[in-house]
Amino acid sequence: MSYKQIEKILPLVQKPGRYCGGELNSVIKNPENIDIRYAFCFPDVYEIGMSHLGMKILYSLKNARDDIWCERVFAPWVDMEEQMRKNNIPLYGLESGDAIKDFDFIGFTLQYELSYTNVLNMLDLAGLPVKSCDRKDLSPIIMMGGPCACNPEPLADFADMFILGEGEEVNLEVIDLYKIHKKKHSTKEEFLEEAAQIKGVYIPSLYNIEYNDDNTVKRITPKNNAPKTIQKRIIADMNNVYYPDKFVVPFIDIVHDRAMEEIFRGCIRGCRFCQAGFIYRPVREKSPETINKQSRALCDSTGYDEISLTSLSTSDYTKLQELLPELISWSQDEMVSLSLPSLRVDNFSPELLEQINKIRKSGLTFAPEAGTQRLRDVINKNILESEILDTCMTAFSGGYSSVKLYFMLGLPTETLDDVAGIAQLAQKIVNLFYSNPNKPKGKGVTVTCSTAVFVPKPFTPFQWEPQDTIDTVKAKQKHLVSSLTSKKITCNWHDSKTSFLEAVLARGDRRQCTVVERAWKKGCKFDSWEEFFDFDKWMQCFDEENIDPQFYANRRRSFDEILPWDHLDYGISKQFLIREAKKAYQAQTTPHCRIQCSGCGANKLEGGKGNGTACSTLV
Amino acid sequence: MAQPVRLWFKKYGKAKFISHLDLNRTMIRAVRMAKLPIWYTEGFNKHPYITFPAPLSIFVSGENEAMDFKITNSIKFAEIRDKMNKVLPQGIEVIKVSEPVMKVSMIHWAQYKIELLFENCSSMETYEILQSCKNAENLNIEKKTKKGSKIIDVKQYFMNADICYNQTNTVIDIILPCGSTDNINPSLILDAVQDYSDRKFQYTNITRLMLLNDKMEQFQ
Repeated sequence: MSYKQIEKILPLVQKPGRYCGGELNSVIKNPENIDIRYAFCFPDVYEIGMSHLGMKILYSLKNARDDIWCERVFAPWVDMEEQMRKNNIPLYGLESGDAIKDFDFIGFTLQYELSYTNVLNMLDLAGLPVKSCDRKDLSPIIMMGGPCACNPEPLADFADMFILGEGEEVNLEVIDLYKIHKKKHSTKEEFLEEAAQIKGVYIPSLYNIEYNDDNTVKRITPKNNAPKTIQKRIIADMNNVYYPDKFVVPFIDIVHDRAMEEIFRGCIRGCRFCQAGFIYRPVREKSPETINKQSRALCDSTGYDEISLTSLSTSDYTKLQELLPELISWSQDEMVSLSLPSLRVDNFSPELLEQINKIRKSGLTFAPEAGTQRLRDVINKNILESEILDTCMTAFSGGYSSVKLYFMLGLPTETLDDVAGIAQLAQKIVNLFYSNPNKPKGKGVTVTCSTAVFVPKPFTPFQWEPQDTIDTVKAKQKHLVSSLTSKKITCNWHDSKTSFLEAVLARGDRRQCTVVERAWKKGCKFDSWEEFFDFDKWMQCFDEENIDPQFYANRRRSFDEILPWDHLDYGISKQFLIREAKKAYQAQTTPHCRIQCSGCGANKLEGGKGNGTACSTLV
Repeated sequence: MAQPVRLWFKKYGKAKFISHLDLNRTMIRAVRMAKLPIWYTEGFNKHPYITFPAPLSIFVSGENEAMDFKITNSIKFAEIRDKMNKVLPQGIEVIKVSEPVMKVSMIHWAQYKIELLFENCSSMETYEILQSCKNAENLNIEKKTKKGSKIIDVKQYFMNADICYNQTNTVIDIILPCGSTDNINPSLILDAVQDYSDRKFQYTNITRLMLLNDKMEQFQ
């Protein structure tokens, strides 16, 4: 297919910059010199996908090899999809304009459950059968990775392989193995069976799942020598792993339009609701020298005037006080501003605030997650109310007059008093502002409370918990509104129906594949977009497939039940998760990894210390 | 004292799908990457100060587009050109850098080349239909602006357009008002021609060749 055909329809769609490619630093290669064509797909629109750091890393990593050409693909918005289907233009790579169905690999990153229908829609737009068993040829191999791959069962029928954990090494190992099989003209089955032996590679078709009469999983059986459990991959040394010195710089405005420097992986905290806090263990930091060097290279090659230091909890970086002055020493002269997302209230010092003030003043956002101390202890947030108030006081004295707070509704053991506690905490912050003699003059305070609905996730201590029903969540939302005591406080929340579907898919099993396929066939796509999410249609699909979504979302699972993801090993032991769950019921906290090793198991992974030594001694 | 500079560039290929706002962002990043001694705004969010004398519409290519900025240290014009061309994406190319000769307000006209074909028509047939449009009593078309919409007659401009054809293409060469007082987007002319002839274009390809002052001299 020629680029001319694409060019013809671009004037007919919104934001053609999403579909034309040609951005600065996009990689163009001569296909004649290439062994492996790889399509990296993000199953959402360009503006979201282009903001994703993982894609930038893996795109550059693959393109650093002469024999691989990796291209970017995003979900075309509905107007573009309409034009593509009308004009018989198959889904193409942005770099070459070539149809991706002829590529060797098509990779999808699974960042959130509500992008699953987009994965199917993109396969269909590419002109491929959506089901793995209907794609007989060796190529293209459909691989999927990302956080949702830790329970990929609702997509098991569609993917040829899943990649567990961090992709920098395993992606290349899979490609190298494929090259051998391509030369030998192997069948897809021959290749997949051998790929199953690579650590971190999960071939769903090599596992047979049996169910009990009560619909729980009875047995997960590997076949053809596939390993009994599949271990996730991690990168041991963050200072020597590949990191791009260039980002593709989009023409159009995207969600996170800035340079991003990853400062560490993993998190020491162990908040019990947080999947990222467990599946990315252990903590591995980059050195300040590496961060400084990489940040500068990125700014030089992109022209970005902002760099964001990314991690799960930026203020937990042990050498932040050493790093910031180094970064500021050049960034100020070059008029580059720094942003530090994900700060914690318990180590947000006046010194840190002063450093940030040198950079740029934006809004302050904190995530207490729960309104009462009891519930914060249940979820192991390890933040005291006094710490929240102290931090707000520091911020108000530093000139801030608006604070945004994140909370969750429906956390395990939550009562209406905990819900009201959110309003009370917000009110205390409002009062604090007016009691402060140093408050910014002539300004009122605004406290915004954003409440999400808790979604229990695999590989967390709450993986056995029932999610609150939609009606219960609605009642809690109502209670929260009635508990508000000031107009300075605004509350907003996520749609509970969206969270319900997330909960269903997050802990789903393989039988849900038929539902996902049916929903897509009925036209469900862009489910994470409010204007497209059709809850009733989804529920109809569950009904038609005779599958009860509440079985997955609202049922308490027992500790001895076989979970659909029990054959996947993220380095976190089940005993540890059960211990944590039991402590949660008693509102007992667990200290973070640097205070005391809680024996989660991650120290046995490469990058962890091994030999039972705590990971925290690493840093 | 900051010295004003006018940079001339081409915008073509994939870059024609870039809106004016996106071009502005792209250019700001480019001057930052090129590390030009450019004058920054003094505001809270300091950024390189660049302006475009005549913004170019999305879907329109440009042969001779202008961008103005100021430099705070002396640097050779050729060096600016070369440094910029090293960091610009494909489809945006600096031709030359000069001192601004004319004031931006002197821009009155712009010359466009429009390649096109009507659906199911040869280039000769397209040519003939276009010629017949010149006989129209008027070529009225609705022009939407921020303040609302009004009907304008574009016949006077289309009358004076040169139209020719070759084996594959029909080409219109037309001069249209351009600038802050009066501005007509070439796509309006095409809409008017489509309306009058009651036909649809199979494709159109618009290129702005140059900007002109009120005496029809090239803007410099």
